[in-house]
Amino acid sequence: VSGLRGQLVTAAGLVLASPTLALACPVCFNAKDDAARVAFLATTVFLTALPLLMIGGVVMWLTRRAAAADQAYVEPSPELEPAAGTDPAPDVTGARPIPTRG
Amino acid sequence: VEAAAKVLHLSRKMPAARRRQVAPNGVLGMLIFVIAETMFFGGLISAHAIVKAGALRGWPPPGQPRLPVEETLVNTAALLASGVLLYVAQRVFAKSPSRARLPMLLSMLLGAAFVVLQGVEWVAMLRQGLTMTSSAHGAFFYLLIGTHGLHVLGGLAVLIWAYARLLRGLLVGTQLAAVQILWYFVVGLWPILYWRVYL
Repeated sequence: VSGLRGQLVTAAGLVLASPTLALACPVCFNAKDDAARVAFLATTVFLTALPLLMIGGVVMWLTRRAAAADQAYVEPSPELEPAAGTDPAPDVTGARPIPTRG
Repeated sequence: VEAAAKVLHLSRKMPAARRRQVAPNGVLGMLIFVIAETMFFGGLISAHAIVKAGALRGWPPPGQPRLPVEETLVNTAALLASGVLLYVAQRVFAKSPSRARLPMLLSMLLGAAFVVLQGVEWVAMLRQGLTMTSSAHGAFFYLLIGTHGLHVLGGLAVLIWAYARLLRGLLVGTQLAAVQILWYFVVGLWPILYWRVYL
């Protein structure tokens, strides 16, 4: 069949001629009784909630730690600020200074 | 180069409160690893639950050996005690690092005892005919329990590393915290596996 229209007609014909149901869940046909259906439902809820809870927990923990660090932070006094035109902070990394052009 | 120098200069000017580290890298990295591993075990436990619930001839299937529920309780107790001892080690470490040696050593020994006892149990189960291919029951048993066993071995390796650093006076609190997260995951997961697989 050539052309888009022909392909669409063929696809529609195949779908209409198909006698079986299209299941949203590819493995739920296995749920033969109540116990299996409950297992499918429970594990779906479990696997959906698990990453949300864990990632949410870590984010909440980090947020609290950041808030605590904000509260504990003390603004440095102006006397300790470097004078204008001088290096603002000593380089404690031991890295060589990056040369600038000009 | 000029742009890099500018960025470096700006980062030096940035207030310390903005550049602070809210969590140690090792701890955060271990948390991310444990989250990934939790999802991995969550998937395995879910698959096991569905196959178990859908088993028409009962679980374990007829003709398959029963798992040693009572004997494994001893292993469970050993692993839980190991977790408690690591907690004690951390509490002692905060006050006097050298005094954390004994509880940490005992924690490692109990973890090793768990692995050895599990190995003995596996040999007995194999002799009774429970293999990866004997049934879905056997396949899930070796997959779930075996994967956990590998994690215990990994946790033990990290514990030994931390203990070696402790002996040399090089262990720091954040390193111990990262090790603790892994070990508590391994210990905390086991009762869930015991409940789902053995009971």
